[in-house]
Amino acid sequence: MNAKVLEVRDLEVTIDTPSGVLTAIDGASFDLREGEILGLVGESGSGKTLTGRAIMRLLPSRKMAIRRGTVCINGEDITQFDESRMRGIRGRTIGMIFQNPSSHLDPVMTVGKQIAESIRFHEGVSAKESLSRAAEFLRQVDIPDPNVRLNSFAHEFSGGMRQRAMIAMALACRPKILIADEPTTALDVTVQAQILRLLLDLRKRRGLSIMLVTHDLGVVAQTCDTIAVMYAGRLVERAPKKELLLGPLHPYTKGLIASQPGGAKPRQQLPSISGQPPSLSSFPDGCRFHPRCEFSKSACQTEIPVLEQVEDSHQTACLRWHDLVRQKVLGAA
Amino acid sequence: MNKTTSITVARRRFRLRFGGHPRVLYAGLCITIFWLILALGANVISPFNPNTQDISNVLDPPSLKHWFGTDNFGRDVLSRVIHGTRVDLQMGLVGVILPFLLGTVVGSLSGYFGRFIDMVLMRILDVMLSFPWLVLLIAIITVLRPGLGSFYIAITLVGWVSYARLVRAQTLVLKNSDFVHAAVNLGYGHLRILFRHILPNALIPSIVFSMSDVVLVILAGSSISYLGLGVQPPTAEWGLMIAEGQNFIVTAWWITAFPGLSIVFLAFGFSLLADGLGEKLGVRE
Repeated sequence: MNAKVLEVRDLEVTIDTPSGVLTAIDGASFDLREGEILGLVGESGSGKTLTGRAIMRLLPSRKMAIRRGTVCINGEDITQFDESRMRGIRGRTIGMIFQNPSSHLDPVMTVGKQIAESIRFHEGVSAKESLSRAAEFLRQVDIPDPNVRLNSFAHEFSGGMRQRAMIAMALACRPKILIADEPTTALDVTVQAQILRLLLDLRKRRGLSIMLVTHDLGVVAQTCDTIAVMYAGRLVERAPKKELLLGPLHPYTKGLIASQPGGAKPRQQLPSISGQPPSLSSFPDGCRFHPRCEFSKSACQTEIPVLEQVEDSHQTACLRWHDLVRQKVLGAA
Repeated sequence: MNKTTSITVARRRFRLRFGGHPRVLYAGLCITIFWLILALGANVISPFNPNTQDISNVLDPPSLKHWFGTDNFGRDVLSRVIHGTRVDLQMGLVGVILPFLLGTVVGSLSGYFGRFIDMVLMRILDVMLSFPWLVLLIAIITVLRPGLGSFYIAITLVGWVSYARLVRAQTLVLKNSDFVHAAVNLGYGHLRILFRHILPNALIPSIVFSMSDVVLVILAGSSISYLGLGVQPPTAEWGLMIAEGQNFIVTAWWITAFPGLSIVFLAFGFSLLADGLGEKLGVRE
């Protein structure tokens, strides 16, 4: 098994509001191994994007803070780093790509210059050298005529090419870890497949570890090795892709998989999880999923389930998973 | 994999497109270029030396020899207007560039860092705004010592306010934009983000405003010279020429009329340029 490049332990992110301190991420723990693709899945507002931001130590608001927990890269806890050391981590050790490539590129700077700037900034090579390396990176992400497209502005690129350019920019400093925050959500399906293939290819060629944040189980099924499911700020289940998709051990995961189009028979209504995800200010006590869970018992309302080791790599945070597996509700069919 | 092949990089060719721009932009450009040519070629174009006095031809009306007539010292008004272009254009340009620079620095620091810096800088700005600017301009020049240098200092101290506000507003918006977040994620420092990524995007409204500001500054400069606080005689400057000619306005209208018209026409050119640029770059004032 490959070495762990990223270890997140008990990560807790809080938001300071006038009505009190809210916990947006409550004790998330996971690892990312070298060359692994980890899918972080969850509904909108479940805290998956925030987890990515917290790892980068770039929380979107001053009111937010990492209250507890550690984020270790190569054994060093980066939550203790000062701002200038953190700058060396950003871009160089962890690269990040975003959902909306058109707005994440500088509109008045050519794409080549933006990539070259990041190379110059982190590696201190000459302007000419960095520009020719930028062209090389554009070639690696399959942009045709890289030496010409280098001089294009972001608005002259198509959506897929912008995402490729952004990947090139993130990879320009040869990071070990790539955090991809919904990288394919803004793209159409064919381009989406190309970008995912590119990510897989990059993993193979340079041993890149990728943390893929998405709400699309289809994307996860195509690319990831391991899947972590988040619900209402907590990690509810974590397992290798196959085990999780074929034998989910948490009712929420099961509901999520069941509500994917394709699973249901034709002309049958697509199943959905009833109710709404809870809002940050009113997380229910106990298991946060219990108001929407069809299997909940009284214990679920009070007792907070911990992430429990089921098999060597499968973890779930459900009080009743034992019963439910026995009743053949959960687990492999 | 880590073998980097060297790729020859084509340079982006800068294409100047002549068609398809707003019409006012062309009109403004033509007029501005006309004045630029006059200013640069003043020595060649003007028919007489602007300061040579000819006592035998005092207060001559416009004629074939002296198109704009002569003033009370027998100096050719046309030549003085042409040479005045130099001084007035210089006043307009320097008097805009200096406040532009100061305002941009103040505005971007204020908008980007916010908090305490923002509070202090914006209170100073409020104080500046609460004064009538022309009065403040005159006061500063008087304190310093009448002359062109003092005018530049004064206009910088007075004029930065507008640029600071424009740049600050843009910076506030841009600092939360996605591409700035992306830059932060690449580990860039504050100054690099501010000057390489935010400012190039934030300057557009200021550039458009600076074009119409040229007009105001030239008017201010002429007014200051008219009051005897700016350019000193015998230098040919439009405001000064109007001041010198006003005693003869009934008998010799040409001494004041032509420099006055020049101010109007120059201002007109820059106004059109500002409108055209604003339309081209999609900025609404």
